[in-house]
Amino acid sequence: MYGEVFQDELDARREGLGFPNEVFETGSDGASYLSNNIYEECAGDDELFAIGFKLFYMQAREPGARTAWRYLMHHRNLRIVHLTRDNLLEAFVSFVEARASGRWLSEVDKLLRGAPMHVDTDECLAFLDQIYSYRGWANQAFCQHQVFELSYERHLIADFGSAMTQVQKFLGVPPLRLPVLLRKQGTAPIETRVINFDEVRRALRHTIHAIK
Amino acid sequence: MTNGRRFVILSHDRSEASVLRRLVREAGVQVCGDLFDSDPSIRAEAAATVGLKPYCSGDDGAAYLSEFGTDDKEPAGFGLLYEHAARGPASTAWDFVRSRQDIPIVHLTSDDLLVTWLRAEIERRCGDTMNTRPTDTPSFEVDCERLAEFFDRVVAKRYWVRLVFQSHPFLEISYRQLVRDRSTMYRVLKHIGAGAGSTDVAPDWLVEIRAEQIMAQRVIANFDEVCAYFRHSPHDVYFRDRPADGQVAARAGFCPRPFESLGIDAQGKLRVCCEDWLTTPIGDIRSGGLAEQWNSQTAVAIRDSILDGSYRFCDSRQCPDLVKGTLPAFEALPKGFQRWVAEGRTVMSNLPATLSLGYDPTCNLKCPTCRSDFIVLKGEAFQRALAVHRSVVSELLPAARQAIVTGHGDAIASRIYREFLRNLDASKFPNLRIIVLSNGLNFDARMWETFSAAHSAIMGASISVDAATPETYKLNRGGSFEKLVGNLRFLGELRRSGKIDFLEISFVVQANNFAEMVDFIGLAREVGCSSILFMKLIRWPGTFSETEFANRAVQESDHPLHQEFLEFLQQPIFESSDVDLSNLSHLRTPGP
Repeated sequence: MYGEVFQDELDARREGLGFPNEVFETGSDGASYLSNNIYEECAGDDELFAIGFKLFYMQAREPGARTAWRYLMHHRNLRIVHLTRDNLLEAFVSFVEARASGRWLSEVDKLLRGAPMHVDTDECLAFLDQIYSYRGWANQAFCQHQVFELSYERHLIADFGSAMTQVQKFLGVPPLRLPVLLRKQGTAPIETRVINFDEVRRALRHTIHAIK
Repeated sequence: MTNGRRFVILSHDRSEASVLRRLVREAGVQVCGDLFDSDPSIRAEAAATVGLKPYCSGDDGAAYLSEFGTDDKEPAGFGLLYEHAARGPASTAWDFVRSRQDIPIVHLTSDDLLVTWLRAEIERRCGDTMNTRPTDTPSFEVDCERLAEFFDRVVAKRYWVRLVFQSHPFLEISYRQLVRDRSTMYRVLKHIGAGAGSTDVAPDWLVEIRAEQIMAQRVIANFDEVCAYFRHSPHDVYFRDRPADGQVAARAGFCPRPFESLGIDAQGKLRVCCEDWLTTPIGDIRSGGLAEQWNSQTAVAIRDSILDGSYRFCDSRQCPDLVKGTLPAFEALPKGFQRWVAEGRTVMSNLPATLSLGYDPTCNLKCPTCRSDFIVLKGEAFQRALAVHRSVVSELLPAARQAIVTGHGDAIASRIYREFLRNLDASKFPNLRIIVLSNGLNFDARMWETFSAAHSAIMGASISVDAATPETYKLNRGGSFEKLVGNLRFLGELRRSGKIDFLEISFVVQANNFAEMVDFIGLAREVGCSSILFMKLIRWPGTFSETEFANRAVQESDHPLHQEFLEFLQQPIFESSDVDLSNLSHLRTPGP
């Protein structure tokens, strides 16, 4: 399983791929890269049951790279694990926290406790609208694929073991008991992590993202 | 305080709400513009048109609106953009409108958000509000991210408006309808309680706007870059196959299925139509409640595509109604559906009237058109399907008028469906009508008797056969043809005696059976069927190889027997009223 092979930052792409794989070169063709470096590279390797990578909605959107989406949409035999969050506001706050700290994941026993942050309500709403829009699109764009809808809250957080068993079954790989190695930052209640939480709540009140 | 004569025009920015307001005003109805605009001078101007004091920043929005239109006997309305009254004390204006469920809402939207955005951008650059022509406009570069943000914002808010105002008197119209369809203004005026027909609803100035075309390719200097940016994105639709004159090729007629039908397939996907005809699911059983997903973002988008006539989610080669051109016209629609169409509703306040139960694919046959091996749900898979069934029965069945059992598999072979039919007490579901879909091999008199409590609910049966001789039946189905015919005779008797309303037998046409189609009609009539359905062979996942499919698909023009098949179809018997060629109809030349 590779990481974000189409991350903006070259170092992050390298990290997502691991040595000695060839990293995606900015401006090169995304479809060819997937075909030649991600999937075909390992074809014929009997020890591999499945090959996958992580892709955010907004990655591989640059000229060249964007053909990766065409590749994924056209190859209907690919299995898609569609990871979504019910609470998009949590996702946004985690995103801003990670952006500020430069750390996107923390080890389970070394939970970071950053200072409460101020949320820009316009940026927040634009982010939520964008995710909402792309999530609906992804459901439609990959409707001909085998898709496993994985909810961060209802599956991964509620019962990680069972969720991973289902994912492995979906991918057709022999089930392994997988330990929880990583935890997202900021698992404290969102009200305590956002200084202007009331302002955010009001800004979202008459939108599809209203906090219940 | 009364508010029965008030109405609200909701729209997004750049939606040309001013055009609608002008038309309403010219019809003699009091309506004002943006009472909550961020610009105080615009607020003041809007308020002055209805003799109201302007809204002052910091005041309570709901309190301000409660003063609006209270003295008027005639309808009075105001425009509210999605973006207005979004923050601070003004935002209670939305609470006010949401809580008054007797206030008629006119929701003005745009079919083409790119044109909407461009029109406003041209206006901004040229400073002309009505008569700017793209031919006079210098081209300019578009910032893709800014444009994407506009699209995202409008799409999310539009969905929200449809959801939260579903209990209001609600009319959704598009700008395109407004400028192209004379009846739109009649509908608006009727909706807001102003009566209709008292004025010219298509004045000259509107005709001029209608004539104006936005040529995106000409105006956007970096059009290719913008197209590429939005390729494979939620907003691709505004850039794909752009008709040169901005017209959308619309189909005549309306398909009611996405507005009233919900099916759950064996993968747990929720569907508003047959998967072969409309491949996009509206949700997934694991993603949330059934009732909630009935109005999912995708469900609403599909309904939109019916109302705008684009049918962009539908496969026009597979859907029998699209192939035959038999979608009902507006006048032929049931009253309830006419209302939905007229109001432009895409969020349904009713639960689905028709349910298609497809979550148990169990069958006693392994027909090559459907599967490569026997499927009988057991263990965990059975329990999962049973849990889905229980949710359907508790959440959806009480409101349903029709249940189709089953679209995939066999209603009798499936333990879940068989028990459902055995245990259903029809007296508890007086409005429910059930259609049983089966291969018929086990649908005999004894089985029928076990469904005794459900008899009055079972309105008919559809039996899949695909052959008229034992030899072909063995090839295409694999069971006992003799036993099947015996059961068909029994079911035919049920129909003749009025115990069921209809009996259909169906036939997937292939190279190895098309020569038996006429005999099949004879068999159907002899046993007492009311209708005979012929369907095109479709390559389902996990069935034929490409070569095997090509060998069987006699409907394809490159098949060696295709010409012979076409000639065969010209026989007059296929014109009979009890024969339905469905998605093969286009292959038959109509008789004189």
